[in-house]
Amino acid sequence: MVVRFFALLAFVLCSSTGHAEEVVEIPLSEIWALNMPGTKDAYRLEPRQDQDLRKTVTGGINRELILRTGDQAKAGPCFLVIGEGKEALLNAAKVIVEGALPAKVLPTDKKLSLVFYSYSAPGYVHLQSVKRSKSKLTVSYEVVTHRTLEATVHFALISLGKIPAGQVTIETKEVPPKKSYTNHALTDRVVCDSCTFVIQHEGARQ
Amino acid sequence: MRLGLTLLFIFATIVSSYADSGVGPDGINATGLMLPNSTILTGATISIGQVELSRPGKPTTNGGPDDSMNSATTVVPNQVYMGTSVAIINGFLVSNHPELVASVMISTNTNAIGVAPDAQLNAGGYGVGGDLSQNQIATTMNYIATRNGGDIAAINFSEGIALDGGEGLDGTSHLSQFVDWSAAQHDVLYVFAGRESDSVGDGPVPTDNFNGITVARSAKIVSSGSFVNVDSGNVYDDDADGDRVSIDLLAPGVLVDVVNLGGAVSEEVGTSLAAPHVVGAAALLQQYAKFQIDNSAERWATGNARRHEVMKAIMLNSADKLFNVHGSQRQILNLNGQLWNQTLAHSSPDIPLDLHFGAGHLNVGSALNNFEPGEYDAGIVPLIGWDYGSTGGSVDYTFNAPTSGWIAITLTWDRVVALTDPSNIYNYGDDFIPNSIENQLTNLNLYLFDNDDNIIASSTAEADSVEHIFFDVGDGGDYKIRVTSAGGGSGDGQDYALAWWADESFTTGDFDFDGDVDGKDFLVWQRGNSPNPFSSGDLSDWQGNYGFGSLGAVTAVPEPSSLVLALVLGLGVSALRKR
Repeated sequence: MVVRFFALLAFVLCSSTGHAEEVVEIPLSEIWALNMPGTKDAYRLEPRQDQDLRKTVTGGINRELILRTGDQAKAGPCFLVIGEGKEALLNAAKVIVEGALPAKVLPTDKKLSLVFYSYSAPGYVHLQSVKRSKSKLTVSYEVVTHRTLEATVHFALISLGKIPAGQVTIETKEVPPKKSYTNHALTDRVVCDSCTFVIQHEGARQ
Repeated sequence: MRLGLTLLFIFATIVSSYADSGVGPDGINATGLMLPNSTILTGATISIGQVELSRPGKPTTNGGPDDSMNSATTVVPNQVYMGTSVAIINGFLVSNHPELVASVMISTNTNAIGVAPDAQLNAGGYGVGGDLSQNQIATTMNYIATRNGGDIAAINFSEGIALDGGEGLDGTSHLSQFVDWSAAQHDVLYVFAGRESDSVGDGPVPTDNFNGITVARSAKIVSSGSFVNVDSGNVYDDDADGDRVSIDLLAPGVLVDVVNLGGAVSEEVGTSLAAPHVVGAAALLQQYAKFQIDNSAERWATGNARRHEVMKAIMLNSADKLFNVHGSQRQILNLNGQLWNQTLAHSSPDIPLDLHFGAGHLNVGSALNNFEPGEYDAGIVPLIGWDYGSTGGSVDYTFNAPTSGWIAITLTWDRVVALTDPSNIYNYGDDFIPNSIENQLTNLNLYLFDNDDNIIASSTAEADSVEHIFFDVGDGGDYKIRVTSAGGGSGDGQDYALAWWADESFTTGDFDFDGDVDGKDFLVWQRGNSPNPFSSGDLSDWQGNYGFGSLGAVTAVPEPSSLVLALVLGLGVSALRKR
């Protein structure tokens, strides 16, 4: 009897483990980004005739992120946009450059991308990993201090494809830097915060 | 289609929002300046330097070692080095940061023109073999300072190094001592990027040097395109010890147009980019001085015009502080919201410069105005000028005419650091003879007297190598400057550079203070930078004096509506001429 009980308990526990959300890592090499090693250069999303990056959408986002730093503003939460690649870039620019409010409810039938960004930081904000489960995305980043006296802004477009209905939590998490670093208050201010979203069927949204 | 329209709209927003670079009238006012023979100043014939952990690229097509991914054809240094050897391996220790810095100085890209595009840049990376010590940096600086037969006008260093154990920000770190020794030994102006973030990777050394210039960054006002504000990204926690301030000047450092490795143009941020504006400015002034010296022009024969102390005195003395004063088209506020006349630097004789903006914002056009009269020895002097002199009791400079309003006076001299090696040649591992600042630094003082020998203003800092007066004397009167030594260092016999500007004359309608009233002044009015922004009165002043001071015959005053088109065409022609 006791043996049967423990066998049943083991079965239940194993079954629970089996139902745990599978965590998948999104390779950095699939992410379009600005100033982040290991990713694809976002400037390449826009074929251009000349070498003037200021005229590109990515250049516009770069400029806006720089300007917001000057205002001593606190970076807001990360956000989701419809589309992947260039479409996502344009939708990200609507929010960052034009000041549109990011949507809090997004559809199940459209591919989505996460926009992760930082204002001018005391170091390079480098993506370290992006891990995804059904309802949670964890974006881990490291602040690598500048030796040179420059300030850099950063953003990344992380393609998520279509997401099933439900609430999605996105956590942005600073991992301990390789070199000791003292100004976490500044990092907290300039790197975007975590965010949550609701994904709904189109009919349910109306 | 919808995507295309969205792209078009965003594109239009972006293009309309970026304006002038940091080099033009809204930045450091370095474009269109001329030699006496009307040749545009471009830094031609002048060698400058750059030292960083890594180096910029030099294309193979220009005799360098680097391919198109590791260089830009519009940023071509005269020579690139790794440590104390010419770089010969494609891409070896090349990185984007030194490329951006180099582009501010020498870029020929018309979308991001450098301050001195024809200057000869010698750029060295010190990060050979992973040695990042102050000794290694000093060795590379020493090597760069001795290129071109030792004729290097200025060297840029856009990094900051952490203090080694036991060092303070009192000029005693190895690198700060090296800088002060080399500035005097090699007669080179060292320029450093100011502090901008509290992190371990970058530190404050050698911003506590005495003999160079340290630069904070200004930010652009997007609506006008003008670089005006002291950017909040500057950090002042690691200022030099005591009353002395580290920052000497302000220059563009936010949304600066730069050229990347590969040749693309983008906008970037950093005091890293502010400092090379000053190096480029030094190249332009040195080109002017060299021309005058080579042509045996009166008041240039001594060759003193190329001294690093003179460069520093001229640039600090002519820096913009207050609107409409000495050619300034901007009003500089520090991060406490204070104008110059509200700062401690104005009210306290012990503090020559403001903590946040030093002497003010670099204005190369004004610097040239201050420089052009040439060298005047002590005695009777014009209202604008400079001298490279030596103390011996009190030295007086009496203005040859009454003056009124704001008077700027700047005195700079060297701290003297001695190398332990009696050959006075720096090698890796060398050190400096320990000495107190009091023994290394003469305590010079600066006074402004009125006609009755009353002191009107003074700058008497005890432990600094700069004195600066910027003072409103009000109504007209006769004045004189006095330089004295209060002991220490060399005492009497201390060489110094003195620059002064006591001329408030202003031609109505000459909104850019360049001595004439022309289309450029209308552009200033159009941007709201005339004394009474956008007023019909100022426009009327401009129309009334249009043609004043210009060389060509004037037929008719253009109407503003048609002038806009003329200006566009004119600026286009001007840009072509500069190339």
